[in-house]
Amino acid sequence: MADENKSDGSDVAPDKPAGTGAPEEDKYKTQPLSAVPADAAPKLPETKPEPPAKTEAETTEPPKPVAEKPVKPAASAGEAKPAAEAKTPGEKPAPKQAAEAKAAGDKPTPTPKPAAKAPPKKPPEVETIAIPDDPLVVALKGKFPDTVIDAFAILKQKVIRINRSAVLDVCRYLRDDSAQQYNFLTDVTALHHPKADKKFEVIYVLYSIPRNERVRLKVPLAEGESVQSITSLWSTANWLEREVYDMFGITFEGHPDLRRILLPEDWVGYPLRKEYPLEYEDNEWVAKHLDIRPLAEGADYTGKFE
Amino acid sequence: MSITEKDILKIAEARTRIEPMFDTQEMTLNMGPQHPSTHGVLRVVLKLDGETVIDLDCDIGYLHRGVEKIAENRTYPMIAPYHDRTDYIAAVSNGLCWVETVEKVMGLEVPKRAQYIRIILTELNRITSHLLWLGTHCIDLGAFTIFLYAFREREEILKIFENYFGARLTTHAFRIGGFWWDTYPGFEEQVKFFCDYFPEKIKEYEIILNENRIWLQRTVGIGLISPEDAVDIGLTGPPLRGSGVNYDIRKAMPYEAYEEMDFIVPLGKAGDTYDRFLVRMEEMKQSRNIVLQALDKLKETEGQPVIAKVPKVIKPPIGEVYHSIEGPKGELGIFLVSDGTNKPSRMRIRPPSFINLQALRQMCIGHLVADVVAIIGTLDIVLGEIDR
Repeated sequence: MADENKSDGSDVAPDKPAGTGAPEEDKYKTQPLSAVPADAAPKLPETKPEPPAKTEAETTEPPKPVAEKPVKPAASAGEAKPAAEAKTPGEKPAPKQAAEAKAAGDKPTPTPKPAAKAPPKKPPEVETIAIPDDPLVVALKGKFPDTVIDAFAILKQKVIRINRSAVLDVCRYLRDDSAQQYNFLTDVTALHHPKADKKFEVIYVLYSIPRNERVRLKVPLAEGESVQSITSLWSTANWLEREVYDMFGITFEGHPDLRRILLPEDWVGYPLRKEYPLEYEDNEWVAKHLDIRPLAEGADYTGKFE
Repeated sequence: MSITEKDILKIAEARTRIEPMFDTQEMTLNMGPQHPSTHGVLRVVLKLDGETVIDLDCDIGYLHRGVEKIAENRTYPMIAPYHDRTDYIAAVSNGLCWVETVEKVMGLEVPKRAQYIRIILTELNRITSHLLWLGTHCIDLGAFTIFLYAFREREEILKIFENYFGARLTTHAFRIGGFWWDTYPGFEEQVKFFCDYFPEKIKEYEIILNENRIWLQRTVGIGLISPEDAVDIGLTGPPLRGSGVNYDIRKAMPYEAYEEMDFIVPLGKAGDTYDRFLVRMEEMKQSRNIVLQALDKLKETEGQPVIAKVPKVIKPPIGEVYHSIEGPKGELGIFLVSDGTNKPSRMRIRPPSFINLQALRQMCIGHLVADVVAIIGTLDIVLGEIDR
């Protein structure tokens, strides 16, 4: 099989175009799948080169003169039809430039014409619904003004983004208030977005045992910023925050014992950050601690131990 | 003869009696990563006053394999075997959590027949995990017989797993969307056979242990934790329910077809090791009930598909989700952030054993060194899950 670490689509089975595979090709299945027909892969639209440009051309066409020939997709693929294009009352008579001028020719501003391939298709997103009117969000906004950045629901799970300065107060309110009663801290973890403005995000998952409700708090942090520790509210945050520190390097102010938990104490680097390489062997650390010495020149491999 | 409240109180009181000290000094003892009773590579550094523990620190990370980092570089189906190896005893449950999380992000609906098979296998895995807990807990405390009895029972279930998945321990049980293969002929008979003879075996264990003087002296009053402390320290699963807090995800936020299953959630009263032992024994019986109910429902769905319409390349939409299940050790959760490609952007495992192990310190202080072993056993930790 091809190199498994390459990131292209074919992971388990080699991609076969739907409908061409004979049943005996799938050797690893001993029984036919009960419900999956041969063409079960979702039908992605073929990459038409010009759909956006075409619509752009069409929408801006009305103000242009009528002599414009009707736009054809084949023509827009980049092959210029010199006669058709050159006739457009545009500014570019040269047939070479006609292709790129076709969409831009009659417009006041030249739009960038993509080359033969389509613009990259944006991947679909799970629907996130903004929930400004949720009672919890309203209560938080009332009690702690300027802390709630936004609140949304994704897959029926409430997510509230708050400022780093208010973490301790908000969590205390959520735990102690009789209308909220989020008395169980399920998880503390973090995310790293290297390209975002605020690179880190600490995630708190809280759960209310009496009310059977779960909420997720997200706290965006810039590089080097720290957040208050909530060990004073829940003892379970002790090890959870230590692990976040260990893996991401985010410090928690007021933590009683912030040191590495899973990695050795003298490890350098924070592995779950995106720039930390996956296959990184800390040879120095290993050599230091396991007393691995390089063999001398001309060392004897015949098995006599010194 | 039955155990009365007075007997239990007497035993608990004997435990807390303090003897007069003469000119002693504190000793630091290392229960090293290699130890027959620490259930894996766990290092516990004890500060002792004589034989009483005054402080305790756990040093973990000996089994850290960087599963979360690896998962950012593997496609979704490729990550499933890694979950088997975190909690290697409850591999089937772990696999369930993973596929359910991915299905949640993708919005897949698993067919009913697959849900019933999943429930059967997950509950069998719960019985397996609790039997292993029972066996190792007893052998740590000196009761060798139960160890072999429990493993004899496990064999029957492991045979079922081997017939279905091809492996006994690291099973890679479930696929995203259901199952590739339907049940093999003879699956239902084998499961029914196990369920039929299992109650007598549980009765055997109860006869040996429940009113055994030695067992009571070693478990009653050990590792007491109050319900408020248990919620504060973040315990989940049988340690939490042993203190009386009713939090079981199968009832609170049901997944698969658990809403259709009729079972009770056993709760303890005192929050000591004996109560947690009783909770887990009862959970085994309840799991067997669930398996029988699911088997009946499975018969009705004969011939239906066992996999949803899954695309060939698993590319969930951009989004994030936190999904948790009730594993045998506690609440196992996965927080998955997907960025639209075929590899996750972040996969966080919320390991129940890691968070339960935090309670070791406050449970052990004041007890003897031998009780530390009992408390590690009652928390039912698996180092693969703690260190990931």
